[in-house]
Amino acid sequence: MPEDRDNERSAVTRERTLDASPAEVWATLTDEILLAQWLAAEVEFDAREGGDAHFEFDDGETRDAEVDTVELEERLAWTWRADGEDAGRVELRLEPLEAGGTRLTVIESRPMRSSAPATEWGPMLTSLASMHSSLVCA
Amino acid sequence: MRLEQNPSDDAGAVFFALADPTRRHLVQTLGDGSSVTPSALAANLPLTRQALTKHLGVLGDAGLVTKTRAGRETLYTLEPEPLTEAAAWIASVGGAWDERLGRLESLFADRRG
Repeated sequence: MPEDRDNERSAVTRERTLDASPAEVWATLTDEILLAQWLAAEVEFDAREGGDAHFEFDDGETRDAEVDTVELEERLAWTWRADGEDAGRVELRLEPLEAGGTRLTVIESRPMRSSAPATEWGPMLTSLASMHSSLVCA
Repeated sequence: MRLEQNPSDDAGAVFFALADPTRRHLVQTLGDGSSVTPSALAANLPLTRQALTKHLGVLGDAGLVTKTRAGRETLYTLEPEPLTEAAAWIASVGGAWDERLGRLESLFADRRG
């Protein structure tokens, strides 16, 4: 049986360069009213390590979360879960850019059973995507 | 035939199964929908029978192959549904973040007027 390693995760990553300072971006990640303008329809968010959060989305889905990382203007992370589903961990990283602005990186991940290091998932996911396309077109 | 399939639960097992190049090769070999014996699967691979059985076991755990018996032979068939679900998880989560980040970008753009 494959080894069960909770520290290995499958992940989706997105990056954006935002025309705002890290402090301004940080506010949109941690203030309930600002979060409700982009992340979800309604948000409760206790931006402290161990704090609770609650999200309601436009489609009616709700998620409860626990915030585990709060590094001012650098890193924010929580684990969220909808009823009856696996938990996902969301990590947000901020980097100030020399030319001005902030690079925001979002990583959402789920635990998986694996003996391969997380960095090897890139080629596998590309294979998965191309294999999927060829199967559904068959 | 598996009953209820939750994309988030199965995605991990599928990712693990496909992390190995030999298993990806097996999946692609089976990809045309035929049912294949272990000997035929092992034909072009430098694998011991034991290693092949282990790989097929991992693929079976992920729901990617099913095995049936035809007489004294065992046949393996690809079940593409878990691939679809894993891909669906990637697409769904990625798509959700694309939408959210688009709104976030707009917040800053609107401010410039």
